[in-house]
Amino acid sequence: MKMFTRLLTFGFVGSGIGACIMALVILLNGSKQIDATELFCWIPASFLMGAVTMILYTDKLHFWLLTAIHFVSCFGIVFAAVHLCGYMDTPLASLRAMMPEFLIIYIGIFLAVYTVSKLNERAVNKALEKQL
Amino acid sequence: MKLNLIHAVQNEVEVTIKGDTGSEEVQRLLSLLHEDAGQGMVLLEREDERFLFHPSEILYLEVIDGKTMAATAQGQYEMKEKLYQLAASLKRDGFIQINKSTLVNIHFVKSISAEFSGNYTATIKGRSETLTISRSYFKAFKQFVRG
Repeated sequence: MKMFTRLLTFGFVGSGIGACIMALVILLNGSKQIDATELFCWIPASFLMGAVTMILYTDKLHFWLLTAIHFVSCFGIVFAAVHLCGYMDTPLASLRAMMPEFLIIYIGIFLAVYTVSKLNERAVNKALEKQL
Repeated sequence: MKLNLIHAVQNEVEVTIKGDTGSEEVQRLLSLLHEDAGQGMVLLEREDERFLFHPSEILYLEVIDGKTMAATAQGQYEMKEKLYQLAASLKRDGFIQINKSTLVNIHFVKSISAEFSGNYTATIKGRSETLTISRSYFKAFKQFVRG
């Protein structure tokens, strides 16, 4: 039950982020309206991506293996959503369009995680030195 | 029960219990030694011998093959208590859980270093071994260290 509640929480947080991104897209493409198909496609897709993110909080596998699973899962979800919405004509065109963006996002995540862990290391070592 | 008190000039007080070590009476005595006479001491075992240690002498505690082991400067000892019980009772002595099977005495942590895996490695003062601080326990560890 606890696991299910956690899964729902992650899913709804994902949906929330997805809704914010959609609102941003509407703002940026003022003339273009988002239709019902897109709405019913991206909100569940965001929910699924949020739910998949839960795996990053487990210790059972190596962090970078979990990141790879997250990458593949999110790529698959976005790939399916792109096709349901009919944004690209062929799967190859979707791959070409999506891959660079995904790589940039995950390299950004790697740099952010590395920077935060180094800052944490410094803060904890400083606190340990004070205890001496 | 027969009680013998022998005066001796030595640094450490020695308690010898002679009789059926499995009996209820002996177990009650051990528990009394552990709880009252110990005054915050913990009972450790090695090769059928029992020792009283102050928690400040224990570097870290870890579960190995289902047994709770205590690492001290004098070597490894076994403990009867489960790790989750010790996590609660030894918190005020500076012990914090750093992964699923390890509690570390914060006073013996020299430094930590971030790993590529997202975990951290803790170096123990005066020892060669290192301990892993897993990601899910790091937040609590950081709060504990920073007070």
